[in-house]
Amino acid sequence: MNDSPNIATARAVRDSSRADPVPSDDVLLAQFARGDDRAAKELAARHLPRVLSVAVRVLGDRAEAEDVAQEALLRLWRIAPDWEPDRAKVSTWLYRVAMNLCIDRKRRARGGTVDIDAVPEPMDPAPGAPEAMQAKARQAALDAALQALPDRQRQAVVLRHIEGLANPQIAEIMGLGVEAVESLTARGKRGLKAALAGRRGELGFDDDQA
Amino acid sequence: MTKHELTDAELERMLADLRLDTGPDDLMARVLADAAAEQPKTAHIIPLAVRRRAPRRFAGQLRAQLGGWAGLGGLAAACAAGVWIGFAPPQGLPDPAELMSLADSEIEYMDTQLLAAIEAESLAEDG
Repeated sequence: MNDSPNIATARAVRDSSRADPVPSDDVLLAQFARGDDRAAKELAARHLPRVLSVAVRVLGDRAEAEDVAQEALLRLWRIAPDWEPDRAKVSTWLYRVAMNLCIDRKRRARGGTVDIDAVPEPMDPAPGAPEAMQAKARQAALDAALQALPDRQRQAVVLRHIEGLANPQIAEIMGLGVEAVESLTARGKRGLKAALAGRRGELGFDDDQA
Repeated sequence: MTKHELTDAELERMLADLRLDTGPDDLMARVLADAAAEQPKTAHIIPLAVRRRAPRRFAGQLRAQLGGWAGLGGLAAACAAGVWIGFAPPQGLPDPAELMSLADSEIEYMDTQLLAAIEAESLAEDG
């Protein structure tokens, strides 16, 4: 049976008083809607880094990703009074909003076509550079390869292998079945391997292991 | 896997290294400013118990104006008495149903002496 938002929110607040030292996201959201500004800080601390991380890897642009993360959280504040705890997890809802915002920005930016030339080239490791330089080069190469993937494959790979989410949650975020998510992830990884093939040494891996 | 291709484990390790664990402080500040701006609009939410009672507020005010439950009880009793008197008037009071059957013009021109004469005549006939 589905409760009304008010009943579900009242239940969430009631449950919060029952010896739960770490309030759930639902409880925090209900507290925010009732005027508790500390709840906003806790919710932002929990979710902002994750939403930003996903947006950075999906968009490949830090400034745009920050805008997306801010917009996703803004939508959370606005929906707080009508939040239905039983319908979705806050994290899943936020990821889904962020993914949709990323898709919108990608579409607008390229006008319906994939602009592979816009993907930044991986950095050349400077001679004698320490490990940090190699790590940066590795990240840049992987970022570039990620940006060259089709949108849905990139989203699935980011959510699965960078954020470490389970396939059922990714399926919910992307509005797909679990099998479709598995297929997208597998194809995405094959695409990344193909894009990075022949660069094992550059990426810091020993060729003899291959 | 071709010789120069990454293994699954290598690729997954690289991907995991891309995870960002902290957001910049200024972004956090922007997000919390948004929250503060949105919160006043939502902080006035009426608690569930109060919201359920809201439609009764007018009825409650009316009841208070009329003197509470005691006042309403007296009012109801007075109304019932009025209705009863209308149907069964006590002796000495004119029956409103009979009055209604008389034409207004007749009542208008009857004086008290004429009424007394009619009454005396009817008593004599009965007697």
